Amino acid sequence: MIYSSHSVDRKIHNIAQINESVKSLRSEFVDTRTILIKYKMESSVSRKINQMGIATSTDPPVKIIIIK
Amino acid sequence: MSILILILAVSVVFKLVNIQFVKGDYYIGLSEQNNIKNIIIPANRGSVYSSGGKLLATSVPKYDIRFDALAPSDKNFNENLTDLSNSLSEYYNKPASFYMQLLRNARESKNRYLLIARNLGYNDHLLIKNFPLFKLGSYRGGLIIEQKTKRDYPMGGVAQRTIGYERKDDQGNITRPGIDGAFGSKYLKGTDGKRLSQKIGKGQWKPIEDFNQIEPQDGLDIYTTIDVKIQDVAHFALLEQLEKFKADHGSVVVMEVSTGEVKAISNLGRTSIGTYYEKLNYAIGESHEPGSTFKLMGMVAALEDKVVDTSDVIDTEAGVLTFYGRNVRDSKRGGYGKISVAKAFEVSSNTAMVKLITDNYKENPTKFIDRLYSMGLNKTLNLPILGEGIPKITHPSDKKNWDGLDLPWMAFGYGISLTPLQTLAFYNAIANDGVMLKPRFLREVKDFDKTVEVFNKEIINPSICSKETAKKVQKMMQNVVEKKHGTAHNIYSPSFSMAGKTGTCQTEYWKESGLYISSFAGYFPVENPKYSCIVVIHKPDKKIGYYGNIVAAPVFKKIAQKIYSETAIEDRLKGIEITELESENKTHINSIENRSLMPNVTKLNLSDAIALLENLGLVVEISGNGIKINQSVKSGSKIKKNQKVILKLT
Repeated sequence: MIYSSHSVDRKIHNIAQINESVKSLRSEFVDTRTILIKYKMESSVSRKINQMGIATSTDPPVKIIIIK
Repeated sequence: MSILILILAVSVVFKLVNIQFVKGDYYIGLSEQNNIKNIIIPANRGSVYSSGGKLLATSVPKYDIRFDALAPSDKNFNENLTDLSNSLSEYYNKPASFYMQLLRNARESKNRYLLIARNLGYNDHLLIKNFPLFKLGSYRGGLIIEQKTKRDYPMGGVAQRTIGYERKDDQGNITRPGIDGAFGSKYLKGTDGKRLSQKIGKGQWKPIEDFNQIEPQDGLDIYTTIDVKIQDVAHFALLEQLEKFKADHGSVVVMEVSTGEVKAISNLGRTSIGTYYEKLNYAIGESHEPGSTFKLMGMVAALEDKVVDTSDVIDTEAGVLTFYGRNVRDSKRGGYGKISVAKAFEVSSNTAMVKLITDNYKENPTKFIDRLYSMGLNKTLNLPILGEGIPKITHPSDKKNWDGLDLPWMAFGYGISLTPLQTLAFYNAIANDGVMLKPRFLREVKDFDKTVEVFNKEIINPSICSKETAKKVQKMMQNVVEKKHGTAHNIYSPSFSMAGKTGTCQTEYWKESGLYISSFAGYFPVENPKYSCIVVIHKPDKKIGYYGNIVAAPVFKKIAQKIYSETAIEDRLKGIEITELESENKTHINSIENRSLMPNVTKLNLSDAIALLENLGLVVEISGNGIKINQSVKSGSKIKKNQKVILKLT
C-alpha cells in the first residue's frame, strides 16, 4: 500500500517532468520553425540574391511533356 | 496526586473523543479542502494552418526572465556583474552601463523580482539562461524563469489581423479579431478537463481516481485558405507601394474566382514614424466610398435592365455636368467628346457614366436601386470574422436621406459605401460569369490528422446578372488594361493578361481637399479567370501620385505577374524519339580498344569529347571559341591518369 502510493507519486513527478520537456521541445520546434519560415519566404530569399545580382524570373518555366 | 493524573487522563480522552467523533467531520473536511482539489486540466488550443499546411498560429510556451537580486552571494554578484551586463547589452543593443546600474539598484533596493525579459521564445530563453551569473541557477544565480502558454505566429506580422487572436484584458473583456477569434470558441478552444487530485510533494497533484471526471478535449486545428506564397507577394507588393507613396493605409485581397477562397489578405497601416504594420483589418472592416470601381456595378445594372448597350453613343459634352449647382467633371479636361458606352467605361468618364444613369433612371430611381439591391450590394457578406463594415446604398423610399444628387453621384461611386471585400466579391462574381460566391477563409477543420469538417464554396447568388452582361463588362475591363485609351494601360504586359477597373476618389473632402483613395479591382488571366484581386490605398501623398492606375494597379500587376511566372506553361509534344545520351557515351568509350592511348577526338563534338576523355581519367581544359577541336596530346600517345589535355577550339 505505502509502496504503491510512493510509486504513484514517483510516476507523477516523472510525468510532470516529461510534460515539461515536451513543452520545451515543442517551443523549440515552433521557434526554430519561425526562423526557418522567415528565411524561406520568397521575399527574403530574393532580397538576399538581389545583392548577388540575381533577380526572380518574370517568365514562367516551360514544361515539355512528351506524349508517347 | 493520583486523582490529578486521573482527571488529566480523562480530559485527554474526552478531547480525543471530541475531536474524533464530535468535530471529526469538520476536520476531515478541512484536510480534504487543503489537500484535495478538482484540478483543471487545460485543453490545448488548436493551431491555425495555411492552405499548404504551414503553421500560421499556434500555442507555445513563452518565457519571462526575472532576477532575484538578493539570491547570489556578494562574491558571485560582484564577480559576474560586468560580464552579465556585457552579455545583456550585446543581446539588447543597449549600453552595458545601463544594465550594470539596473542590477546594482535592484540589489540595493532588495528587489527579488526584477524583470529582465518578457515573452522570450525557447531559443532566446536558452541564450539568456547561459549568461554569466544566470547559469548558476535559481539558488546561486538568482535566475527566475516563468513559463506561460502564449499564441505564437511563425509567419510574423504577415496577415496578422486576419489570422487574429483572442485576448482578454484586465476587465475580462475579450477581443476576437480575425480567424483565430472568429472560430476560436467553436473549434480552436477545446474543453478543459477536470480531475479530483490529492496534493503531493514538489507542487504536484496526484489523481485520486484512475479516470478523469471530465476528459480534456484539445481544440481542433483550422486549415485556412491563405496561400503563404501569394500572401508573401501581396504583403510586400503592398508595403512597397505604401512606402513609395507615403500613404496612410491600404489593403489587398486575392480571391480564387471559382471557389471564393481568400488566398491572401494584407492590411497595412502607417505608424507615426512612417513604418507600416497590420494595424486594422481594413479590407473587411472599412466601409468607404468606392469611387470609379463602382462604375462596374452601375454598368452591369444598366446592361441588365437593357436601357443601354455597349455601342450606344454618349456625349461627354465639355467634360462637365451640373446638378443642382454642383459639378461632375471628367479627369480629362474638356471631356472625351462623343464616345461609346464601352469606351466611356474604359476611359472612366464620370460625365458619361452619370449621363447614362441619370438619363435612364431619373424618372424611376427605384428601379436602379432595386437592381443594385437584387445583386446583393446592400447586404454584408455575413462573414464569420467580426467587424465587417456595413454597406450603404440609400433607397429612394428613404425620403429623409434621398435627394436629387444621390442618383448622379452614385453613378461614379460617391454617396454610397462598400468595404474592399464587398467590392471584390462583386468583381469576382463578374469574373465567374455572374455567380456570386461568399469569400471564404476556411478549408477544413481537423482533429490531428482526422478531418472533422470540410467547407465548400458557398453561393450567395447564382446569377447576379446574365452571362451576356458578364461577358460584355469582362470585355470592357479587359480593354481598360489592353487598349491604349484604357485607364490602366500602364500595367499592360504582352506576356500575360489582366482585366480590371481603376478607381480614384476623393475622401474626407468635407475636412480638407486633396485626400484620395486609389484603388484597382480586377481579375486575371482574362481568358480563364483564376484569381480576382482588389487593391485599395488610402491617402497617398498627392505630390507623388494619387491615380488608381499609378498607386494601386502596380500592386495588382505584381501579384498577377508572380502567379503567372510561377505557373509552368505546358508544351505537349507528340512522337519524339529520345536517344539516350549516356548509352552514346558508352559506345564511344567501348569503341576504344587500348585505353592507355590517347584517342582522336577531333571528329567528335565537344560534349562527347569531354565525356570520353574524362571517362579515360584525363583532366580536360578548354580554350578558345569555335567548332573545330584541336587536342594538345597527340592521338596514339601514351596517357596517364589525371593528365591534362587542352582542347583548343577554332
